[in-house]
Amino acid sequence: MKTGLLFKNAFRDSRRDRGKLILFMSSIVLGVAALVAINSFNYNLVRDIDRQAKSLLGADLVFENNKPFEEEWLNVIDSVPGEKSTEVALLSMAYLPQQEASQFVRIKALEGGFPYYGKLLTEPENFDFQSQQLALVDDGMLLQYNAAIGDSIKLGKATFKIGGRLKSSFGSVDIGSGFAPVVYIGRSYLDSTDLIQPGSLVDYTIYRKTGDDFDPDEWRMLRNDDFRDNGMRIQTVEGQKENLEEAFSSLNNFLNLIALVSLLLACIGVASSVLIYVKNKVKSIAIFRCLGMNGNEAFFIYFIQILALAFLSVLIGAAIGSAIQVFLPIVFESFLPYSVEMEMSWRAIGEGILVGLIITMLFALVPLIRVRNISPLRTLRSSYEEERNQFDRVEWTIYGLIVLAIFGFLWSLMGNLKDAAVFTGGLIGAFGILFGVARIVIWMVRRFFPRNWNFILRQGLSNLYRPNNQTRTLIVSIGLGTAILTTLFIVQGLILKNVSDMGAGNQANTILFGIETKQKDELADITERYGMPLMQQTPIITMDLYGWKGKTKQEWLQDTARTARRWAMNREARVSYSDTVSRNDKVIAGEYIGKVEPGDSIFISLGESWARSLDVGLGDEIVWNVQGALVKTYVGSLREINFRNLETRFFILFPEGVLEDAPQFHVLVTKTPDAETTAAYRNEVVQKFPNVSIIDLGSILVTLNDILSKLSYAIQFMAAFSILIGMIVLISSLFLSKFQRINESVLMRTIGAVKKQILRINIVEYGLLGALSSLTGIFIALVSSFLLVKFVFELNFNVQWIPILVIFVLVTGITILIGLANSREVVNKPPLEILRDNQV
Amino acid sequence: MILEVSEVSKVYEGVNRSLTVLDDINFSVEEGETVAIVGASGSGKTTLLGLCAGLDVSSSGEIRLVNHHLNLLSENDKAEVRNKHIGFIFQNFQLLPTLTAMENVMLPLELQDKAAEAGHKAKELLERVGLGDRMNHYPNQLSGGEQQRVSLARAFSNTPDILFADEPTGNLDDETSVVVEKLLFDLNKEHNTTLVIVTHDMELARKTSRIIRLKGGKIMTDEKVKA
Ligand SMILES: Nc1ncnc2c1ncn2[C@@H]1O[C@H](COP(=O)(O)OP(=O)(O)OP(=O)(O)O)[C@@H](O)[C@H]1O
Ligand SMILES: [Mg+2]
Repeated sequence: MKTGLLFKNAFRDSRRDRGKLILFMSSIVLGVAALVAINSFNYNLVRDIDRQAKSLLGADLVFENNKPFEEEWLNVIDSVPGEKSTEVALLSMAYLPQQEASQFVRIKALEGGFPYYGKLLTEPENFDFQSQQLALVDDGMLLQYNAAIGDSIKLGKATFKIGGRLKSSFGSVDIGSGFAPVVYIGRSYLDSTDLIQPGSLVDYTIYRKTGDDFDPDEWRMLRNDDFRDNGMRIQTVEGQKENLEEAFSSLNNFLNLIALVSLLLACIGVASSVLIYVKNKVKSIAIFRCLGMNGNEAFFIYFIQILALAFLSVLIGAAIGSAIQVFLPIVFESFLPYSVEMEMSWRAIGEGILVGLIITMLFALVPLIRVRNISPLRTLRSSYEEERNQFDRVEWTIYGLIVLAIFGFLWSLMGNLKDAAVFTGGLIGAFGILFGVARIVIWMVRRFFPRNWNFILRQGLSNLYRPNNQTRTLIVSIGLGTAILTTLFIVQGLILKNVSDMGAGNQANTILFGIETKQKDELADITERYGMPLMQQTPIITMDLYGWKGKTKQEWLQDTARTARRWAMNREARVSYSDTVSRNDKVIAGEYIGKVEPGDSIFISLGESWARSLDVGLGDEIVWNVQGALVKTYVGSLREINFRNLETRFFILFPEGVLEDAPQFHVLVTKTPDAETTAAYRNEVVQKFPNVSIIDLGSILVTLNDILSKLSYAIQFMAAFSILIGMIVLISSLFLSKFQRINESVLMRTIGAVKKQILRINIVEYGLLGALSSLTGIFIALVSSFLLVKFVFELNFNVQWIPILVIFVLVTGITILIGLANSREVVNKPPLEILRDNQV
Repeated sequence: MILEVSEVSKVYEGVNRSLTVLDDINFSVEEGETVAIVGASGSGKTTLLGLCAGLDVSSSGEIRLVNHHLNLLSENDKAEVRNKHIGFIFQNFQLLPTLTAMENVMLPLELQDKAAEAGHKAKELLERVGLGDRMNHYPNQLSGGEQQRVSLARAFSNTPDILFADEPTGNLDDETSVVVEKLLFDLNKEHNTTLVIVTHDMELARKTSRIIRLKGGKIMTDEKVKA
């Protein structure tokens, strides 16, 4: 038979039934739209990062260090030709005298023409804070405290006039700004604040603008390792680009995953609609076969129809996706360090069409290939049931290809074989559970059918297993949708709860740091005067790792066989001393010795994870450089450190009797009863001790909540696609099953069933389906969120049941409603009309 | 011989017992012959017809149709034999609902890649069965009798060597039955087409040249009809 004729027959055959499939194809439209929108946005983002990376970094070369640059390194940095700026940044308290308010801020003291690319958005424009004692203060902070230009701000011991508003903070993504807003001052005024003390947390940055004939990346390549080994960082525009792309690619991957899951959901719909379409066509296929068409030709007639429709839907989906992406920047605005201009991305459209078409067709093929096996005998005997228990190689090949396609897509998305495999496995698992539940339900209902129940219940129940039932499709689509949404919901809730739990009950909620030894006792008095407990008072000494296990750090760095991890070596050691181990810690090896007599060996205690990374164990020797003096110690014990409350904890703990005379700071941890006390306490402390910083859990929570709600906004936007697709799959499954059930309902009406009875039968059926699938979905969500929370976020897992109950009721209710809306037509139309409409 | 059935049985394997529907059937049909198969409901008439036409596979025995051993042919080969040599008429018409009367009749020839000829032939046949003015109507716009006449036209469109009919008049009123019967026998005379007709209708059976009587899956009698 000629191909042309096959096309002709495909066209003729579809003529009268196309409408039935179009509704279903709309789910593909949405799935592809989601994919194209996300990818377009991604490509636009990457392109704009390319365009704007220079003005994001503000310079060609940036050097970062957490202590002042030493002479030797300054010489290297100065060997680069071009302009130079320096910045000293530190966290500190700021006090607004007019408003009587204090705020934790990030002070940046700048000298030089930075930024060389782009500019600080200030009001007044191009505001100069370097040559006068004026501060440039974050606009959001000024608004929060109702402060204006001309008011004062006290930083450490110095008072500045607020000279300008900083409209957008520079360079970094904006997320932490609510927590520590930026205040710019001139570098030359920093000393007057008296905030820089040995051991305080300060970041030093040098910005260089080089000439056009200078290649910063090449320069960086040659020296990067040297700088890094000495605890410094070099950044270039290219490196910045990579960092940004990386930062956004995980968000994008995540959204892409949701889009993929939506597409898969849509494909379940496709598979089931094609199955029903083919079932409706069995008679026609049998006649074709009887008249001498062979199995493959018959298959091809339907394949062409589905392919054409799929192609059309995918194209429409791509068009809608490109339209939607225009709105995505609004959704993601709060994350982006710059504005993204949206343009048509042909690459995203192409990929969306390709992925959409491949996955859709693979899923459609599952029911389609059965067309090959439809026997011509069906013309003689309509009830003839195919014996198809035997293993169909082609069918299994298609299942294999589906898994392979999904895996391939995930792999290209995550760029990691293992993650892709785990996720593919998870998806197969979820599908497996849902299909399994559907099977079990069908089997159970059959097996334990309650014959003595009333007619309506029995009828509704038996609809679950009768021919052409939608049990499998509905349980999978509703279940998967519910699972995705519930997982998001549980995980988000748990992260917030874990954080707020930190301050609950008797847990600490306020921490003061940067306390000098001479201020320690007075601060304790003030705290007790407010009726607040002194939950922790700990000294902190900063020191450098000098060497371990007989070699110096420099020697280890040269050693190619070294097993220590770089981060563990370069970490600036923040050490405390105490006669006992904190109640948050557990000694898991060795024994803690709380006091050492002069002249004895010093046994210290290490955090287990840090010890592992440095590859040292009990008894190993470690030498420290304590602000110039070398101190030799031995590992005496290892601790497991619990990070679940606000109290400070230390990887390195010395016994009493060694560090008492070293320059040191103190930390004080307490619990404030309420926000008013917190504010009063904070103001008093800041005024008496400008160098002391206070962080309270309340402000951390507000910031975290802010970040999470921005994140969840983006996630919810994508999840909405899933829901919408789930709904469409639901509506169209029911719509199609209506055709299956219509004759029966009509017959029942003819026999004399009243409207109410038919509606009740439907309530029972869809209520059962909705309840079962949402329960299964919730179960999957519980498992997956447990795994996520436990192993990815490493938090405590517990579940709030009330919102989950709400989800359950909602999903079940919606299923029933859609089911009823569907059967309304049956009940309201005269029987005859429906029979004629539905004549095949 | 255009059709030879030798020692054919059909057994359906049930869950705990098997059901013998046809038991050791032997007969042959010559070219141009007209044969009626009659018997009570459930006696196996439809099953036998399905086997003869290669729609079904026998449990044992051999069937030769137009010089092909059906047992030795693949599904696709059988489809081709049906398309080239065989016509069907069904009790319940079996028209494709998505095709017009004209397209239904054209289909067998189109399947033989004789599309050019098909339109012409279909038109001629439809006029012959008195539906010249209904060619572009869909099956559900035609009455039962009209649908049966379309299916008759389709059965003849590939000028088959042998035509199988399963109760072709079973659903029709007397008058329409007469029209359909006349068409069947006329076409038989013109093209020397062999007719194998399953029927309950003894009057129709007597118009054929031979009656095979089935009972409980066995041939009871097989006798020529006296003119
Ligand atoms: N797939 C099957 N499985 C089991 N038994 C079957 C099957 N198909 C047909 N039968 C049985 O085979 C017997 C013969 O059926 P067949 O349709 O050939 O009878 P018939 O003579 O055409 O009857 P009627 O005149 O009612 O059409 C019947 O008893 C029927 O129940
Ligand atoms: Mg029969």
